[in-house]
Amino acid sequence: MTATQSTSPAWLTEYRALAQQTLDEKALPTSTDRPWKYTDVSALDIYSLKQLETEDQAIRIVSCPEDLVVRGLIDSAHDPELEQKIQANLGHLIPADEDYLLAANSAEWTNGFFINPKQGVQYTEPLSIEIDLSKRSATIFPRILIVAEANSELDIIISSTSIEEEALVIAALELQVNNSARLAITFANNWGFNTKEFTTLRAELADNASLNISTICIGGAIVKHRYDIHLNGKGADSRVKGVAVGDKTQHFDFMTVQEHNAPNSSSDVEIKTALAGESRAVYYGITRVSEEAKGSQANQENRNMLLAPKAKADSDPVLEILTNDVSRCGHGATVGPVDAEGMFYLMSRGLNKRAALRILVGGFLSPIVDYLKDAKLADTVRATVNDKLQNASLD
Amino acid sequence: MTTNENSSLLEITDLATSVTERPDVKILKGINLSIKPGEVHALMGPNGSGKSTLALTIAGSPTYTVDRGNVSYKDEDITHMAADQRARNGIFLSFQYPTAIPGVTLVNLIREAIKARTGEDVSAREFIAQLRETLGRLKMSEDFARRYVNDGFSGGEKKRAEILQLGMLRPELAILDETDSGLDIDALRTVAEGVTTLRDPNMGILLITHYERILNYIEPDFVHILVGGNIVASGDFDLAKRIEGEGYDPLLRELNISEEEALI
Repeated sequence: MTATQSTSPAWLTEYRALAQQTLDEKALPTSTDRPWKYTDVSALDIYSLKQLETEDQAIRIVSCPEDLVVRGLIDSAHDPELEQKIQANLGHLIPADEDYLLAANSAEWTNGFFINPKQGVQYTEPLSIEIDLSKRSATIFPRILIVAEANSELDIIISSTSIEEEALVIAALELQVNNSARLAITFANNWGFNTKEFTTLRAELADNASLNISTICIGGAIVKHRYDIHLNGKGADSRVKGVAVGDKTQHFDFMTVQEHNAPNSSSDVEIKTALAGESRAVYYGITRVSEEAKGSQANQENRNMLLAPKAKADSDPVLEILTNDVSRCGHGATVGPVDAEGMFYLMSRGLNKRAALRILVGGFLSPIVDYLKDAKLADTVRATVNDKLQNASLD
Repeated sequence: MTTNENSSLLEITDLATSVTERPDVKILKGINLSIKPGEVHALMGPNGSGKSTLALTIAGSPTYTVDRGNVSYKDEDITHMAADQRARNGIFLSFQYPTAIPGVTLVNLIREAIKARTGEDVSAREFIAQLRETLGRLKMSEDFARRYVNDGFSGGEKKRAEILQLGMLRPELAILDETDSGLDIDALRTVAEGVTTLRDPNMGILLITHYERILNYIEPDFVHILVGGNIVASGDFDLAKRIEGEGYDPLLRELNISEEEALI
């Protein structure tokens, strides 16, 4: 335990002690746990790499809109004006004793972020956060708590880079999106080749609240993102868009849980992957429309394009509808090679196989990449994907 | 490579093909065809006679395998050349059923294709100028060129998109596979006039059609009738007019071709 932690408020010390106990008692998940069926972490040693003294060394705010509260979690917990808000929300969606990796984050984070968009304020500039492990091989435990006050509006971009040596990132985000607040989070991940990342994001959406998550996964050895969204308020709206482009032995795992607990709520999940080499993608998603969620809409789509014979994808979208009154619910999954007709069409225009493939993949991913609000980021993503495909193994 | 005026642009000799995934399905059974620069050859024939197979085989489609004979283009044997290399050498196929490429605009495709063909990126300004000029000549809007390739296009729009690509890529050999089918008379005129305006005097054209009417706009130097995988008759425009007037049956009877032989 570090010095900062010993000065934490009692409730936080208790939470972290329980997390520590969970770490001592529980084992890493195995393939018999459904969310981990295709992603093997049984041999993961979260203490094999150096831990940073504080996550500040790896996480920095690149730009912050004026007037937005972004502070360290411990620091905020000591602020009499904020403590109650922190206590009510930190650990609310992520209990200390749920599972090993979440407990690891809950026990080990050192600084964390508290982000608190003010009521009624529409921040025009995005909050840009950078996770930078480009200079050291380490394990970090980013922890972020966001409480978006009613009628606020904020875009957050979290971009990540790391060195080619090993790095491990175990992140947890808790989001409280209050009435009519709008929150958008973009994860732009370009990890080095030996980074493993396990991120869990949990959100609660109040009446007419909206949450947009966009995730771009390009780098990393194993990247698992899990988003659990509780649509608890009527008219709440959740959108998850994800892209992964894999090569070599990269492994991407997306899991989404959309819980419709209120009338007229809507959710839309769209995950698309393009996989070269021996890379692999996994999608497991559950969209549950409860009896109370009358008039809701839900859509879940997962499309995987295999660019090489050894690439692989597993897709399992699940839709559970417990009410008779839904306005529109659908799901779909595809795993397949590149469209041969499209390839021939492009090659008949003079494009070689790789160029044709780049064009097809670019087109395939464009509904998600074009959807990124930040046009500059969208351009960067297009260029990065293009470069990656230029050298990716297609055999 | 320069082409001698008297030598062929395309020379097809005894070409026989089968379906790659079903080698027992033989389609073309010994085609001979020679197209010189500037010539327009019309290829007509009943449904299922092998017209599109010939077009796709010249373009290098992996769907068909050449069992016998060869295809030579500008004095080079291209029988086993990859499709993209043929395109870069100046062969263009306007597809009967163009494929949709969602998420990729026509502009983007054309620019990539020009880059592939010339080996260098054209400047944005030069490209746009050329695009606008070609669109103008084809009476098409710039918005059309910014749509995703064939995605949600009507039959007529698909054919116009093919002709736009033809105009921008300026091939030396253009194969137009039923570019007229599915078009109403106005669309047909636009497309046919488009081909005529865009045409380089040295461009060779193989025009595959069911109907004679497009030939009123793009007058052929030669007309060939393909039946059961064989070219059974060749002639001039009058042959096309005869087919238009009386169909294929009288010709087949005259040539002693049974119904069975007319099938592939």
